[in-house]
Amino acid sequence: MKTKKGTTIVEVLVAIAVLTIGLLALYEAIISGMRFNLKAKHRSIAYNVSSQEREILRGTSFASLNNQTEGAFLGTVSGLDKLPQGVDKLTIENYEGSSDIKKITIKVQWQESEQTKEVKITTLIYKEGLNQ
Amino acid sequence: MKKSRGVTLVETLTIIFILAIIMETISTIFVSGWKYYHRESALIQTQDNAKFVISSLTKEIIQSSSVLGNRNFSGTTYTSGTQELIIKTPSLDNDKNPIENTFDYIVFYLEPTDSHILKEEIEANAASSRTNQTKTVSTMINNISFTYLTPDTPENATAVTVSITSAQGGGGEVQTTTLVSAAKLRNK
Repeated sequence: MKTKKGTTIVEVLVAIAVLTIGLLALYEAIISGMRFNLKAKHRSIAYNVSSQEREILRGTSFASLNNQTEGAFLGTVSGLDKLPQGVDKLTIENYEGSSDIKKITIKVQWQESEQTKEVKITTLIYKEGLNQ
Repeated sequence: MKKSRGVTLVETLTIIFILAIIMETISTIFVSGWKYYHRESALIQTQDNAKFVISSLTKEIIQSSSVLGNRNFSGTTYTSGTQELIIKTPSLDNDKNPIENTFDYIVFYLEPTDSHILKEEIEANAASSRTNQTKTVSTMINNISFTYLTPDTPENATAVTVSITSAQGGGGEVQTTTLVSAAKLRNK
């Protein structure tokens, strides 16, 4: 009768290889999880920068809201430097042709894995509103 | 039949050697995975916390009618500045509508014995649906800073900027998230 021979070295190596592949997949999951966390962080910074600008504009007199296209923010916001290549873009235009209502588009853009990401807030400001 | 000859010393050593190399790789992946897990959960917690604090504060500031320079709340006098904020806000009835000429007072301050704790104390009018209470807003504050806009004195401010840094340790380092937001007093 042939004797029982236990586990061969080839079997052991195959088992280890399978285990390693499994662990590497797990590792990949961790890395992409970290990437998503960073994305979420950038997005919440950008959102808060945008809302700062919105609140600044709410407190700016209506007469100072001159029309502009993708120009710089009015007033000073903080946090933009915490985004990779963060850019502020403010568009002020007449709403449906009326100069009594301004349509405000606040954009914050930043770079993430060679792509431009953006947070955009749009609001209307009326001549006789909060600003006066 | 050939006699089974067992395992030679060389074979044993080879196995031990290969296993050692593989185990080292696996344990490195394991240890760093563990570290990243704790680091990332700390980061998520700080982000979550900073967002929560910013939204709780701006929600109250937007509704308020003015910032007070100082005020006594149940025996302690607070002063609006970079670390403390006192707001006067219209009282709300049970349908959450404002009651005319009736005000509640809210102070946000750091616990004197532990500056990581941000507290909110409400002093409500008898007619208000708010109740007198002291709440803990956050226990992860690393830094808080209020700035007052146009003008930059608390009493006349028309807007307040809130900067929050939350910190939490994890995976052998401290993770922080700083968020800055602003709120214009809508009832000024």
